[in-house]
Amino acid sequence: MYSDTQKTGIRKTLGILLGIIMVMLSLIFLNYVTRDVALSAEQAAKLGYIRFEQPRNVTVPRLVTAQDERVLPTHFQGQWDLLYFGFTACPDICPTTLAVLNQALSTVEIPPRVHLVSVDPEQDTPAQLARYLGGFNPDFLGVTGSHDQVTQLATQLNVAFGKVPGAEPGSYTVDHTGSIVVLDETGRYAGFIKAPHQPGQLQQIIVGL
Amino acid sequence: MSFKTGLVGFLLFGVISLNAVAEVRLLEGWTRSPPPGVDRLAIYGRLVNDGDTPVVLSRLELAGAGQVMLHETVMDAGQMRMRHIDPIELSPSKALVMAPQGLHLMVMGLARSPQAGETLTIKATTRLDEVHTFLVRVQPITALGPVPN
Ligand SMILES: [Cu+2]
Repeated sequence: MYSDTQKTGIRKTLGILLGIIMVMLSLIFLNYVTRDVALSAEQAAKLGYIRFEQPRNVTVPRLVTAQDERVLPTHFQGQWDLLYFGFTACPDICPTTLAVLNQALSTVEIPPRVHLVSVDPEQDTPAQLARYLGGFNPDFLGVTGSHDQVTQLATQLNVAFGKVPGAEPGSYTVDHTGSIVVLDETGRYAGFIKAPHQPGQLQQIIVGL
Repeated sequence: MSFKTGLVGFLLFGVISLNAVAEVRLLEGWTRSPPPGVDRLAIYGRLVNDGDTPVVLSRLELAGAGQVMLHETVMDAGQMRMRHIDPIELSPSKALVMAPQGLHLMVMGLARSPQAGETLTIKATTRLDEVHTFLVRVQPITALGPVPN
């Protein structure tokens, strides 16, 4: 019927055709997945996520983790990261935000990493952060350092904080920005999620990152 | 029964029945167990005044704690702050709703950390020197409401 050269030709054509079909199918699938998941800037803003048109570079200052290891300049590269600036002695807003994050991430397949960056670094030693975060989620990470080092990171991320005296002598509290900072896979500052935070809202934002 | 025990019993009964007709109650009072080394916590729930006239709470106390006061977490120029609210006025028609990221009874100077499962008792004294007690259930630190998540 067919010669050997004809058979090879048919096989080649079939192979190429199959390849083209596979590529087309993957493209359709990819388009479907991304269209389904990614949020437009407008949708994101409606949910409280202010996404920058152009992500901003971040210089990671010298800081330590809750495991007392140096935070390397490449620390925030390789995955999405959420940073919340708070402190362990904060009774209302900080545990609420961490509990809301914990609940929001529980249904996300590939969750971003969560970091609590201490705005009370004098009190929040690595050990204190580790104990505190362990109570929420063993995967939550802590960041602390000197006041100046934390300020260096915070300033780049539009986060402000300041100690204020409390009602009792010697007592204090720390006012701080309530937003959750979003860093993209390359460690750049992609945007921030405004407070107040709710599990459903955060989940939608995170899935659409 | 001696006269003395009778008198004590009568007085106790009086105190109990006074509490039984309490006009001010804390409904679904809850808090989170503070982490080790932290001497403060925030209490949530609904403060209701079942009476016909406004009530002012002039003093809040918790045994083994330094201070109890009403706070509100507010966002002020992008900063989360806690504002002290004084006096605490409870109108008969409207519950004072305390919930995370807003109003709370702030306890400071705890001698020890209450653990999840415990119940705390807040003593509230009104401007007219009436005493009410509020029960507060301690939840784990991950709690977002009066019952475990
Ligand atoms: Cu407070």
